[in-house]
Amino acid sequence: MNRPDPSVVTPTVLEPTHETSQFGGLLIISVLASAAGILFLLAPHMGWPLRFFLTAIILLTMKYWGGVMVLIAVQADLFFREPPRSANFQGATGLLAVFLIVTLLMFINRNRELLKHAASRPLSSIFGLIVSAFKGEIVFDSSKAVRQVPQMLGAIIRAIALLVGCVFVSQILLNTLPNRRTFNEDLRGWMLDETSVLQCSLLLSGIIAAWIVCHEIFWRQLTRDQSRLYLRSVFLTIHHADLRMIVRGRLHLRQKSALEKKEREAAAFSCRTENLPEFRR
Amino acid sequence: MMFWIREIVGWVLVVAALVVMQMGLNFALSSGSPKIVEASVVIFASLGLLRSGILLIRISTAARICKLDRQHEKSP
Repeated sequence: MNRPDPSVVTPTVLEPTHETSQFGGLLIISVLASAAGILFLLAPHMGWPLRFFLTAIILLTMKYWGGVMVLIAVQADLFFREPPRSANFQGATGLLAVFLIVTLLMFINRNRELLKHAASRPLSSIFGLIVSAFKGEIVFDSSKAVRQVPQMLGAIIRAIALLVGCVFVSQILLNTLPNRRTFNEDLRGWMLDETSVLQCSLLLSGIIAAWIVCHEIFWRQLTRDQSRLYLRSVFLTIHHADLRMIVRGRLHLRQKSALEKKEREAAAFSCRTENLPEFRR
Repeated sequence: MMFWIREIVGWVLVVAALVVMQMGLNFALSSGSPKIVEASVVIFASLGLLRSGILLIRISTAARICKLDRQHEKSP
């Protein structure tokens, strides 16, 4: 039977392909530049050295944390801006900033491997790219690049549709929540109103159901090796107690037989020595 | 066939767990007299149901993937 080569892993959602795009370098530079720009825009009241330091830390640890640190920085900035200084994030500018931040986070999480390589040596990799571009060492396959353009356009359209959908849903959800001015009145009325409590429990159950469905959809992208591993681990988890009992029983039996053999040998030796004459003992 | 039965049973368990969970949430969120102890017991039971349902679904999915790949290997 022809067994497949284990080193060749089928690309799935869980294991994306590691093939470098023709626009990989450009994407790395643009993402690092936009991440640095967004991080510089945050916390305008902080001193420049501290902002440089924090930005450098976030960019350098991007290979470990992905977009998590960027998200934490944005959340911290929003927290410290509340409430009077948050005017910068309102209106069209605010919407654009939110779109930019969410796009950046999506891109970072999508191209983790690409950025991991760049973030491990950010300056040297960028300078290396520029130098090799000037020297003409980068082989730019124009036919491959032309083939990749429609794929990139499709990915951009999908990302924009996803973004618009997420923003639309989040806006609906946020509009249902009470704002700061009417918070106490809304909360009192909400607690006294039975229908809103029922809606809340329905919403929670719906969120859990959606979460389960999404997880199960992603679960179906398993490769054969992953599913084998999972089945073995489940089998071991379920039968752990029985297997442990069997192994311990066998070990006990082996120890017992070894002890009996030793005792038999000792008895045989003593029998032999008893039969010998006195001078040969 | 067994995989599909197992998967259907798993989804039924998940739906039952969600129904039981909503019952528990209604216990906890009832504005007149919130029954926290009852709610915790019911939600604990629903988590058990949810876990077993998800385990059944995952096992059947993984087994089906293994079986499908084996069939692909056998057929040249």
